[in-house]
Amino acid sequence: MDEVRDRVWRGSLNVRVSVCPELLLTELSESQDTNLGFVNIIVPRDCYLALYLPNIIQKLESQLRISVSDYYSGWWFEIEGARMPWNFPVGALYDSSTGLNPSNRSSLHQENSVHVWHLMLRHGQHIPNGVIPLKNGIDQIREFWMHQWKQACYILNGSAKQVMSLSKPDTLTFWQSVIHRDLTKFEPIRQKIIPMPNAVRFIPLRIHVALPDVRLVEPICKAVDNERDVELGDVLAREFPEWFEANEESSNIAKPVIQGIEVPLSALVWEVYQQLSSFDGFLHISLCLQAENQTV
Amino acid sequence: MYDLLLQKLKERDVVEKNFAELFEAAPIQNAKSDQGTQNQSKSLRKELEFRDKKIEEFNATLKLKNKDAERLNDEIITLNIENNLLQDQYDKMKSEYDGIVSRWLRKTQQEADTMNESFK
Amino acid sequence: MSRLLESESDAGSTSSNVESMKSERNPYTVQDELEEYAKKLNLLALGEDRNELQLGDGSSVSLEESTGNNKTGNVVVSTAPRTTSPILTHLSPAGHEAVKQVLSKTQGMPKKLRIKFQAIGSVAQVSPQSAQISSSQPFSVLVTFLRKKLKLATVYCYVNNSFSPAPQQSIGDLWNHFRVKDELIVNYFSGVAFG
Repeated sequence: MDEVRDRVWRGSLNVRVSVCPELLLTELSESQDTNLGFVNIIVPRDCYLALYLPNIIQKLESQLRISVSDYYSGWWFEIEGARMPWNFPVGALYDSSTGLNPSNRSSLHQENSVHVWHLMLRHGQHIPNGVIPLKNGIDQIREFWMHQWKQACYILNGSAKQVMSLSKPDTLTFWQSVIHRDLTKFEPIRQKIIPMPNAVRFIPLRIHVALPDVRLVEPICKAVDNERDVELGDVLAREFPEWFEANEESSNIAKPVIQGIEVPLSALVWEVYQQLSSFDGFLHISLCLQAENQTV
Repeated sequence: MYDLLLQKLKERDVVEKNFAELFEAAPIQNAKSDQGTQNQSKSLRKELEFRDKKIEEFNATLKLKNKDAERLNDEIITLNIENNLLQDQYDKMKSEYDGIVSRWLRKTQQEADTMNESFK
Repeated sequence: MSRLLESESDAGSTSSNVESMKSERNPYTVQDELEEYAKKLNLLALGEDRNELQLGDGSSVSLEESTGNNKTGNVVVSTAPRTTSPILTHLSPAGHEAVKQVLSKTQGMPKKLRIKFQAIGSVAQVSPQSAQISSSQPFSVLVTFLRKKLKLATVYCYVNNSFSPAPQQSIGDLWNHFRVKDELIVNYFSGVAFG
């Protein structure tokens, strides 16, 4: 098995999910015991956060003051007051919402430091704008994910035929491989959808921008343009001319982060797609703005 | 390029997976609650929810009643002002009337006096 | 009269008491529910505004938002969590300039795009069949529009008879990727058509 794909698939984040204090039993929220009201779990970078809702809520259920009737409906995550949509891969959300600068982070890393992402779990009748309400539990997530693949397939091949003509068992296995984190079952089906290099129509890209506003950009990107393989820098310079200058690595204010690593602008988009694309068929790129005190 | 990506992924994992064993690797699973032990607390939570709702309802009614009280109070004030005005008017009328009566009495007295005078 | 003044101040104090008792933690009082309804009604009204007919363009409808409420309709934009925001204050001057430029660019003029609605199966065809919509709107605006037009509780929408996009995806992006002869074809059905 390809080692890069394997690492992408097995990449994970340490996550601490705290419950919004309003949801805790009064006795617990007023107590000084700091071991209450949260769970620590490992979440794969390449999956949806919402898939872990039942697991998280079940662990916290005994401390909640509400009776839980549905493990999906009415719940959402927040980071420092900003709501997190669930419909992007965990890793992409993490990279863009923290403005991750990988080189900066690894220079600060020490042998005894633990890397934790803090999320807050909330519940209410009125889900904040921008979070897709989950009415139909895990089935809804599966359907959403399949439609994402169809969309990616359409961009790649010019129609969603490759996904729609997957056999029933294949479709089922495809989803099961995500749930059971089984790359050996996932890859063969993914390969059925991805076209041969010379047949690629466009490459499904999603660029997450967190500043100045959270925004999603879905540029049109060919694999080969004017008989030249398209580089990551080409796309970014076209979409964000203020941040990326074509052919000039040094003066850039932002850098592309994919799957938690910084990818050089000279990398070929099609190659990067094949190696670093996410489980929903898209290549998620987070743009990290470099601060003044951060040097490459 | 491949090797570069691989190396960077390795670096990433060194940072992100340090002490990952302290965190629980949770399986994605379909929701199924373990019953029995949770049953009682479930019913207690239902009770709590019910009470919370009741409190909300009471607060809403309280708010409404309060509005009513305020409205009634306003009404009392207006009525009172009206009453005061009427009282004033009444007082004025009364003094006027008293004046007229006393003048009339005086006049009749005078008449009586002159009549008495002429009889003498 | 003095008695009255007294009782009035009484009333004042009780009302403030109640106000403080009705503290943060009860989100669904009758009052709040009414406010929520009002909000919803407002939203509907805004939607109505948005569907103003565009004259002089034959049979097409403009799904443009009305000028008064430029905040409601656009593709979901939200503020970043604070961990990222401090970066803004540490940016180099050039970085600041760039962020500013991007800001002004995103506020730039959205294009008007043509959408074509196609019914699947037994669902009624909306008329007019095609509509114009600004590229900055999210896909969910189309779904809401169809739901109201057809008076259905739920409408499932698909692009090019194949997939249903996420509600937040901008129509501009979808149009760029999936248009057919300068039209984005949206198929709709009252149930699930493509699993």
